[in-house]
Amino acid sequence: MRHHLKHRAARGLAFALAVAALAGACDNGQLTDINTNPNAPGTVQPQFLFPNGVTDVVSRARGGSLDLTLTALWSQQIAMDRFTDEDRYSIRPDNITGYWSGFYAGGLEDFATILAQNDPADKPALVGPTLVMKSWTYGLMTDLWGDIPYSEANSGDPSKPPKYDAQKDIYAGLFKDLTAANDMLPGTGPTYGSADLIYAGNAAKWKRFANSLRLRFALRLSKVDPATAQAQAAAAIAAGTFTSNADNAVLNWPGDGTNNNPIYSNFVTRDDQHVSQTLVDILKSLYISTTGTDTLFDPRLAIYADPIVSSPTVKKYVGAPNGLQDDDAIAIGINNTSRVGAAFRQKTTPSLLMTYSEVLFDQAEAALRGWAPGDPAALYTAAITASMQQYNVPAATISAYLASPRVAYDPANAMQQIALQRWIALYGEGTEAYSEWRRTGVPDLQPGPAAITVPHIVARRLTYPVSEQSFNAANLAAAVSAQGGADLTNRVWWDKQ
Amino acid sequence: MRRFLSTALVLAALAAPRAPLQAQATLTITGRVSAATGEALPNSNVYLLGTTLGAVSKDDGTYVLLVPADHVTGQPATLRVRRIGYRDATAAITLTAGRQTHDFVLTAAPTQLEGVVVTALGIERDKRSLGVAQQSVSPAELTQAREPNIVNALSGKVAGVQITNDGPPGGSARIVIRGANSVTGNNQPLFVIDGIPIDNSAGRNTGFGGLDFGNAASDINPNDVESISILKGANAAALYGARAANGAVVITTKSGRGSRGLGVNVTQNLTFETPLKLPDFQNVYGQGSGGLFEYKDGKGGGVNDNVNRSWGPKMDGRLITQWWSNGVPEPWVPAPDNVRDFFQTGRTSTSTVAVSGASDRADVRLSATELDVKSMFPTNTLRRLNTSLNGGAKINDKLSARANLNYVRGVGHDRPGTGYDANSALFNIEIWGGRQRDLAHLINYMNPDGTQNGPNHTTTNNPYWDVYADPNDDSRDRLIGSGSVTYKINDWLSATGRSGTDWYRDWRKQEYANGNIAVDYSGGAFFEQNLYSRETNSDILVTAEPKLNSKLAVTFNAGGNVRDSHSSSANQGTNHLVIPGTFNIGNSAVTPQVSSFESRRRTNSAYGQAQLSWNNYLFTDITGRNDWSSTLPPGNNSYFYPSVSGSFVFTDALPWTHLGRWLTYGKLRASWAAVGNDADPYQLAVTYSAGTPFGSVPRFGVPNTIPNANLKPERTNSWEGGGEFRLLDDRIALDATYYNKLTSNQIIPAQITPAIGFTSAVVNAGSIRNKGVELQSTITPIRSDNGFNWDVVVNYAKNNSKVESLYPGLQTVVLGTYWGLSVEARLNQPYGTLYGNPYLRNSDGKLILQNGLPRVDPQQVVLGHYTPDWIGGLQNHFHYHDFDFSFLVDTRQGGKIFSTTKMFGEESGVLASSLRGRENGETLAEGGGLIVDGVNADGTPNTTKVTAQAYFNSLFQLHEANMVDGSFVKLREARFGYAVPSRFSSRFGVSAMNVALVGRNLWLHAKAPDIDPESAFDNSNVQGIEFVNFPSARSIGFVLNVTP
Repeated sequence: MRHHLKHRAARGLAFALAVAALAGACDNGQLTDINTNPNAPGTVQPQFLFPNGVTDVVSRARGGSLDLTLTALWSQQIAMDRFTDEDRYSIRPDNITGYWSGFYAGGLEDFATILAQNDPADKPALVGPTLVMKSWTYGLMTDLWGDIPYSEANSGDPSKPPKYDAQKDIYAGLFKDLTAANDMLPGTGPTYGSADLIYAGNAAKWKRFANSLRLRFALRLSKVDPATAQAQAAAAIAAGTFTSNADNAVLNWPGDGTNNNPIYSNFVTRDDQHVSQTLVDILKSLYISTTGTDTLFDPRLAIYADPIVSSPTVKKYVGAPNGLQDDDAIAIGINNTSRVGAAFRQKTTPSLLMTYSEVLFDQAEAALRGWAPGDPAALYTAAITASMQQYNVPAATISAYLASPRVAYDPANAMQQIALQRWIALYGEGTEAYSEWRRTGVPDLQPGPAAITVPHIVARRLTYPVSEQSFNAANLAAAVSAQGGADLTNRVWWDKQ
Repeated sequence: MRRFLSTALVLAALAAPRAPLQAQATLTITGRVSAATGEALPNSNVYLLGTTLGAVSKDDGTYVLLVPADHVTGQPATLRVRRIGYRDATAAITLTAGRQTHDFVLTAAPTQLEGVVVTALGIERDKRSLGVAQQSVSPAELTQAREPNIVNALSGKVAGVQITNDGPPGGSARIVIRGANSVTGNNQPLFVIDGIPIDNSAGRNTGFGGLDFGNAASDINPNDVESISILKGANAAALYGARAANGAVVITTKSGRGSRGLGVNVTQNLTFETPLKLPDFQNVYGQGSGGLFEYKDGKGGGVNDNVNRSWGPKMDGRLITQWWSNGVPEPWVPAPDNVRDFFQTGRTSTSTVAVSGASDRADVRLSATELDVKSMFPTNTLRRLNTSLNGGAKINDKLSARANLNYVRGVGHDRPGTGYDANSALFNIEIWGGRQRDLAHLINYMNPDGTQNGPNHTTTNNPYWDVYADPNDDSRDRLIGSGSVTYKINDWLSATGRSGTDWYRDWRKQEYANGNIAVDYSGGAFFEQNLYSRETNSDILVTAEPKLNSKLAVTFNAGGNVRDSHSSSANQGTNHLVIPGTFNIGNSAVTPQVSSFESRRRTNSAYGQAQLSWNNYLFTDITGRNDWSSTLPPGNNSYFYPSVSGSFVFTDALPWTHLGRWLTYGKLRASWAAVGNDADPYQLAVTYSAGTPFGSVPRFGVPNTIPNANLKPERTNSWEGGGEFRLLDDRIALDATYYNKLTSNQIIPAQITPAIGFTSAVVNAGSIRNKGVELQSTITPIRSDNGFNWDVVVNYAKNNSKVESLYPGLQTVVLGTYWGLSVEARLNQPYGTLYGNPYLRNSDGKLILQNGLPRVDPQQVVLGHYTPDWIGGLQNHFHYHDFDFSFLVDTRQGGKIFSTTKMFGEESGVLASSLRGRENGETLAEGGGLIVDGVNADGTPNTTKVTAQAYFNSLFQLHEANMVDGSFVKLREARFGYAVPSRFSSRFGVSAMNVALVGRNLWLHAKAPDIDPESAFDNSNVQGIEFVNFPSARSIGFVLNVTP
């Protein structure tokens, strides 16, 4: 009896397991196919990645985010009329994390993927522009943060958080990449064509952009490493930089409602940033003429700034002070200071990556230093002219302006003049204006009264994102230590006292 | 599908008729088991205490118990009946030959610490045989306060179960049992209805704006529920798969079994809702800045008239030009109730009609419930229609079949925006509303030309614009159905095949009229989502219950399951329309935003279970399951997980431990389970994501997450031990559990330094340990013959979690970052670390100030954890004849919350707490301001006076200043009921009638100012942050239940 029961039980169990195994294992072979992602391709061509990377880094650097939140405030071309935290150097931590993360995991990763998958030997016109954009981005980042991950960055290897490279080594890398880009361009083979949102596939222009950028970076080192600065500047100029405003590296926004100039998007529902008193006062000081009550100011004033709303009959331009306490800033009233010029707030307003006028100012400085051939005075006036032509200022006005005693080239004060005019011309490129101010000390910027920096100075750099404390702590600590601190008042390597 | 097998007890009962009949000497006991309402109670176990003789009541509640001659001794004995959801009942009998009749009327048990319970796969078992913790919630408890969301209705009723909810009507509720196991994955239990796992995802996964469409399990109609069984440990995973590693909520719906003839039941309840707690607003200073305000154009043309904060002039009746006053100065006075009056009294009505019938061979129940909500938020309505059909038939002696079909249609209109959303009316009325803004003027939100009329013309909409001009609509059609066929191969072997599907389609549309101020929606905008989800589970299960004529009873189950899931979404929308008012994609003025997504997965499984019991006091369960998952790479996609559990009723096995009335029942149990788990689909290989075209240029980007081609399954190891005791004549029942579980090898998208080129990487890493204790106790302080009964049910749970390891080199996995504060799984910390910036302090702990104001320390630190120290519930039930009164107090103690209501509310100067420093006026000139206690950079004490406006502005994003205590005590539910005696009810032609007054969320005690700390930021693992949540509703109403 017992045996019989056991036997029955075992038979039942065996049957049950057989059924179960059949049901469970019926189609395990097809399981892997189910996991093929139907939503996105597993490979992608560089002409789709490149425009993604370009628009990503440009909109982050030149948009409402980095420029209008930080660097245009710190270069005192823009001032906050409320929410003055960053204008007082009180940084909201998640903003910084957003920029850092956005550059590395955004455009830089697109560029790294293109560079990893394409050989410069047969695709120079794809690799060259990518190297230029990578360098443009890294230059901007290291100017803000000093030592940053570079040589080991974008590895895609989560087990190896990258070390921070010294800014000196990053600059060496930028020169190397831009030299390589110059050497391989224009080259042969495929271009990005219409997917090249900057130059529509014109490789010769990319070559000139590479050299112009190399010149920008060369001059950054004028204080800390004049020898390298001289050599790189001379080589860049010799290799051929921008030759006209037609060479300007700009991103033209379609303004189609989906892809609008980010500055437009920032201002369309908000009104928190106005033109800085510092910039307005400087532009006013460079007046062409005064007749009775009517003063003819620097013609760019009326372009950079809108007249204040509270004076509807007489056009008046008033800047907003930087670095006020929130309630003090609000107390001024937004109709009593100038908004950013309407031309900069259009859906289709182009974002500027680098312009011909900056190149001419850089050449003027190089010539003045004796680092490169050329007449500093001629280059200086050409640079101002290019800046004004960029905004369609009439030739007569340009001439009058250039002839004005406050503007006319003064050999005794030339370095100062070049630096000031370059700072003015860099309106719209907040980070560049901020870096040039740090290098040249022109104009003489003072922190706002409510600045939180100790000592009470204009911030000299950006702090690292707090997220790095969690994700790359050891390398961060080494970098902070190597730089002797990375507070807002510490200087980056090239920013020598 | 309710019983694949029975307990040893029932087995013996089934065996009984096979004993040789000796007609003259046997005893036949018959009777009927019914509820107090008269409803028959099928599936009740009737048995002779101390023997294995028993019977099961049939669909009409009747039972027949045959006592063989050798037991007919003429001795007294106890006949006991037990049933799920009811108290045991006993009758004293004498074992004499012949026939006896014993009818039982069972009373509903307030909670289930003993008796028959539902376990995995709907298997009903005696609780004594379980080696794991399990708790049941009876339908009476569930629907006590008429909470329409079944998840919220569990609050405070089950030890170790924590519920949080988003607040808005129809919003989502989150349920976590015994703490979070998974670093970034789902931590909520599996919901199973009538054997079919159903979806409980929530339509919203961030508190950073957006609408809350509710968690999918809220589609379950509480009125259709016959029992809810909460399986807390991981053991259920052997039968339900890895998703049950977080526990399982096993729901059995009502069927027609038990109906005598045609049964009809009608229930109507109506409750009214008002906000339980609103922020404490100040009513001294109005809109403006620096004490100044005058309206001109709302764009800065006047004095601070574009400032939407409340740092303006004192509201002392002075004359100031206001936005509605056409340039004429009008008295500047507070609108103290502008937020409270913005809400209307909500109304929730539920109407249920259920019809059921049964015969010997078939039963059917059809029910329809309509939920109709007019919420506290103006214009917001919700409707849900549940139709449920449940039928079964015995086709012949071998073959039986059962089918369930639930069709749910939910329709939402104007769900309120919550969180940081520029189009959230709540955000605008609470935070950005100047304290003088009165609703009587705001209600004129639109000018005759269709443009927006409001106080502000930059950044902030008139809150009534958000309400009336920007409607949203949604609907969900859902079908949950299953069918099963059971074939009895012989008297000890049966096979069941079952297939069930949870299928739904969701449609959501948000419209924005031309004229929005907060967002550039010129021309108007709309966004439309279509979601589709289907999960099908098919099972074959074979059950063997060999008859062993001994003290040993065994049961084997073996089965196979195929789980097949498919979900997809298709979205379209545009920011700008050509012709305002036509919300069609063809009317888009710009390149429309379109996207689609599709996801598929399959898991094949084989599983088995063996149950052994010895003499009905020693029990062992062994389970094993193997899964083959589509989401893991070949080589790693097959994984096995076992479990074992045991239970020992020592008071039966060792009679000397039975201490008379002091200890009537004692049981010890222990279990161990391992569970494997797979990944989400498509995490193995890189794919490139399409961006919106730039003009005509297409864009693709490298994704932000590094995939992992070598993923391995996750592993949970869990063990628990506990005991169940009944003391003092069963007056006290106690169930205590200790558990310890470790989930390791977790599949997590670990956040990494973006310098690697990605923001996260899918890795197999990380382990979280949760250990804790749970106590449940049922106490009956008064049980009297005069009909007065008082029952107390206590729940207590304490869970300690710790993140024991993460990916090498990684200190933390960030679950979410908002305003710079991160919610994290941080190494060697409890799960749910709140990591943010403290005040800058010197070595003495003094605040280091600059310009007299606090500064942020850029070094972030642990500011707290969102996980509570302990949670508990206390229920009281009083019964006196036809009256019943009960209430439930629910508490959470410990845990921190980052209150952005405080942060924004103080920065904008609307909260009463922002009056600090404004006692003597707002400006320093008036004598206002405060001197913050701290030191200057050089260490000297601060003497600089600052305005309150500057002070509170400096606390923005200073996370430490905005941390609040998450503890609370709530009067969660109360009910006062009356069963109308039949002598009265019969006059209305009805056989039974119950009325009750019910209330929910009646009272709150919390240390946190301004908020209900229970309201959550969202439904995901990101907890511990709140943002201008929709206020919890205090609901009061009545219920009418009629059986004609």
